[in-house]
Amino acid sequence: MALEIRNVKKSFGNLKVLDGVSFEVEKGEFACIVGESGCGKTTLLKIVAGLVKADEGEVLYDGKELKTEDIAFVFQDDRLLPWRTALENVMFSLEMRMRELDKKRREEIARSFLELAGLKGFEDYYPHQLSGGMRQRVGICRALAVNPKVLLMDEPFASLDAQTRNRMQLELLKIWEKRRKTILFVTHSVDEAVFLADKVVILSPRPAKVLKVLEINLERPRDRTSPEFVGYRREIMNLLQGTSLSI
Amino acid sequence: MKQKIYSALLFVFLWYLLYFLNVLPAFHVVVVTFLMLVVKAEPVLGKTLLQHAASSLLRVLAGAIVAFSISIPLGILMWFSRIYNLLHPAIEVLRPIPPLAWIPLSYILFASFPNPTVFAQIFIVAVGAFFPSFVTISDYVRGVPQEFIELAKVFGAKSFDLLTKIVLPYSLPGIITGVRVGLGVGWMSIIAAEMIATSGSGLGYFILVMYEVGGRMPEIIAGMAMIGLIGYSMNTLLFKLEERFPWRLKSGT
Ligand SMILES: Nc1ncnc2c1ncn2[C@@H]1O[C@H](COP(=O)(O)OP(=O)(O)OP(=O)(O)O)[C@@H](O)[C@H]1O
Ligand SMILES: [Mg+2]
Repeated sequence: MALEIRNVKKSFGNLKVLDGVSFEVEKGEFACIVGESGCGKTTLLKIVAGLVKADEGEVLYDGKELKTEDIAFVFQDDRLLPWRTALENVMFSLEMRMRELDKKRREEIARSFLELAGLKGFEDYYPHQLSGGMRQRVGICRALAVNPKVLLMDEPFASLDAQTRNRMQLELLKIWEKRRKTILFVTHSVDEAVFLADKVVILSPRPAKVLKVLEINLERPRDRTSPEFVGYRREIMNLLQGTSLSI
Repeated sequence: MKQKIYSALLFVFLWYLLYFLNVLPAFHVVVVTFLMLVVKAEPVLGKTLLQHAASSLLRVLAGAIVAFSISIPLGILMWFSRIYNLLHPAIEVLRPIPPLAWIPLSYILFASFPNPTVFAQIFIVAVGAFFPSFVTISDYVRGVPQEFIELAKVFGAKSFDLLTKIVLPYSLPGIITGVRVGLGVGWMSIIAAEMIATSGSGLGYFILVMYEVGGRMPEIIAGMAMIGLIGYSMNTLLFKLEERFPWRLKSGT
């Protein structure tokens, strides 16, 4: 067992957000978390990241507490630093986390990730000179560069148009297949979850609990129109809708 | 460009209107006086307009350097809430005191110095430049988006990293705005200070003397024009610099 989320509870004042969330993710596994807006997905991810303290429960990796230095975060907004070029943005995480490396080595690592993400030639572009999809990829490179044990992604493609989004999903899978990371990926989109994940964690509306953990047993690359794919989608939709109707 | 030409034509037209009403000397007379004063020393004080401008500018520069070497680092430190809470009330009380109100005090402070008037003038400029630049910079610094701080923390930033790698670069355009508004007020302060704490040179002193020796209107206006031109150039230059930062916040003037 690699990543264990055990009975995590969190309230903001009187607002109960997470009500005992538990699930497990294997090493190198791609897990998606779905749930309706406001149910606490970002909160859960921030707790895993150590940015927010849980009221109760724990997050373990190999049986030990998961620390902020073990994770990397990809934000919903790309959150690139506007005064840094693409390359310098990727180097930022290395400057913070891998202080022992010299500048030259950091630059090499950053370049190799940008190349992996198909951004060769754009190293010296500033964020405002890049497209939305490119900016997201820089954000992903910045997270991957520090070689985290767990990669946390909070709706990284939510702001992209459908076409770019599909292309980014493919590229993310390509990168993931090359560097098997444990990924926790939050999304609104059931389609995206079924397309990407080995395992989908379905959360109830607030206060969130795990409704079901669904293994997606489909070969990659997945065909969105295949009956099996549609079947998984329907199952998740029914679970999500069933709960929101019963509120 | 066209707008600017119309604006200039309107200006000159209104000027001549005032000339025919016997309020102002003719525009062309002032222009000629200005050009003459730029190249030729004016006999009463024995200096050209450029020499007067240079001494005013030097004093502004000295005062501004003093002001900015305090307001920039201190403004950035205002990012820490503890320092903000400590300094903000004091600054808010001192800020409304006009720079010129510091003159009597500065005379006493610098009485034992070799050239107290010049020191007093520089001090007045420093006071004038400090407050607007400090407030502009600290406002900008206080506005660093929490998202960037969170990002840095996720990758393990320490307080010092936050200051040098997030707060400082984010605030760079704000620092330039601060320098711009500070220089603007500093420039106004030196002209005023030169008229009260006189010291033999400077544009403020020049127009005052031109008044005292018999109300020489063309010379006075030429001096004022020089003051305006220099203030305008400093402001425009720094504004151009500010505009080069794509992430800058919209600043008013
Ligand atoms: N710092 C906070 N203080 C108070 N309430 C908060 C805070 N952060 C989140 N909340 C509340 O917790 C609930 C869950 O927020 P969260 O951002 O985790 O939802 P989400 O599932 O990520 O939603 P979305 O899909 O829209 O991004 C919301 O009702 C929100 O108002
Ligand atoms: Mg969210």
